[in-house]
Amino acid sequence: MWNLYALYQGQWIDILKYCNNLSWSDDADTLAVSLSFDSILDLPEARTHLMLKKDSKTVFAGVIVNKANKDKSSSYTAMDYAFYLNKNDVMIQFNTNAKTAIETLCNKFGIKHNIITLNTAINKFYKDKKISEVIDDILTQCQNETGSIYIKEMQGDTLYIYNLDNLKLDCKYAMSNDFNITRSMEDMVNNVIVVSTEESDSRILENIKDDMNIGIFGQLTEMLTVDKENESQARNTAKNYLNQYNKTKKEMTVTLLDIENCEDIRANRKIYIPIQKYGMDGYYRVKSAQHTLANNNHKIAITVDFS
Amino acid sequence: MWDVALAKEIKKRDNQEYIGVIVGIVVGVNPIKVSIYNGSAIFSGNNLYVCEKVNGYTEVVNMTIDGTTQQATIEHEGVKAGDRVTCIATQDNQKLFVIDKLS
Repeated sequence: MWNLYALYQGQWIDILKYCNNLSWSDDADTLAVSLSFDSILDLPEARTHLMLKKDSKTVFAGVIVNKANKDKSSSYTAMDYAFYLNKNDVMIQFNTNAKTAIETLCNKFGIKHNIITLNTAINKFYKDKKISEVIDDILTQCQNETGSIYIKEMQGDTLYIYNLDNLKLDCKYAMSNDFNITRSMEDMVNNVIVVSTEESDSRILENIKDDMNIGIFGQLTEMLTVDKENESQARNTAKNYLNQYNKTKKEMTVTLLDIENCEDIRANRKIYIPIQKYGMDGYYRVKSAQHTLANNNHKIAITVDFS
Repeated sequence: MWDVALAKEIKKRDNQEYIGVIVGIVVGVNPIKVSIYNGSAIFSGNNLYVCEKVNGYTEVVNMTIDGTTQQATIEHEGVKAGDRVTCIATQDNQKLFVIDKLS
C-alpha cells in the first residue's frame, strides 16, 4: 500500500489519489533523491514537505522545490533534505580525522548525522565550498587511502555515511529482457605516478603499473599528488587508485518489476543480478535508479556498475 | 543517466575560488602561525612558507663617521603576535607564503 503524504497545517494528509505520473530517481553522482509528480492540488513550493511511504516504510522524505502550474493541474519536483547540503557555502579548516571533520561540519549547520569510523587524517582548508563538496572531498581522501568506497545519503533529516560493502539489498524482482550492457575503456588507468605537493620536492614518490594491461590496452597514466604529511601513504594511494581504475568500465541498464522490497533500491546499494552469459552473477553497485509508480505498479529502471 | 553526466562535466568547469593575495594576522611566533579570514583558517608548520626577513634578521653594515669606517650590526626584529602580514596563497588554497610585515 503506497501513500504520498503532504504536511498541511501541521498534519500529514495522504494526497496520492490526487496525483499521477509519480516517479523518483537517484544517481550515485547526484546529491539528492528527486521526486516528481502531477497533481490537481495546488501545493505551495518550499513550504510543502512530502513523505512517500510503502506501508510503514518511509521511501522518500523531502520538500517541494519547484512547481509548474498548468490549466487544471500542476507539476511538482521535490528533493530530499540533502538538497540543502548543496545550497550552503562554507569556509572551514580541518586538522583532524575524517569522522570528526564531517561531524564538526554537520554540527556547524545543525545537521543530524550518523557516521561510520573514518580514521583518515584531513588537513585541509575549504573556501567557499558547498557542504556536500566538502564531504565528498573528505570521503574521496578516505577512499584513496583505504580503498573502500564510502557513500553519503540523507534519510529523513539525518546524514548517513556508510561503507558501500555493507549495503546489500534484499529484494525480489522480475527482470525484463530489455537490458543493455556497455563496456568502455575510456576511463581506464594502468599506470599511476604519485608526486608530492611540496613545491621544492620534484621526486616521484611511487609508480605502480600493470604491465600486462599496458601491453593489451596501451599505457594510460594518471599522476596523483599527496601532501608532504601523507607521503608515507603514497604506495597505498597508488595501489588503491590502480585497483579502482585498472579495468574496463562495465554498466548495465535494465527495468525491474517490484515483487518485494524493491522500494529499497537506490543509488549506492548492491543488488543481486544473475545474467551469467555476460559474466554477471553477484551483487553489483546500483549507479542510478528511477522508480515509477502507476496504478500501484512499481517499476524501477536501474543502471548497475559491474566493473 | 546522461543528464547527470552532462551536469558533472559542466560543474567541473566551474572556476575555483582562489584566496590570492590576502592580509594575515600573526597569532603566534616560534613557530609562526598566521590567521586569515578572522581566524577561519590558521596556517603554520608545513602549510606556511615564510620569507627570510619575516622572522627577523641581522644585517652587518660599514659605517663611516668623521672619516672613520667601522663595522656595525643592525638587528631587525621579526614579526610579533598581532602584526599584519602580506600573504599569498598557493593555487590550491592550502599553503601561504608570508611575504612581509605591513606597516
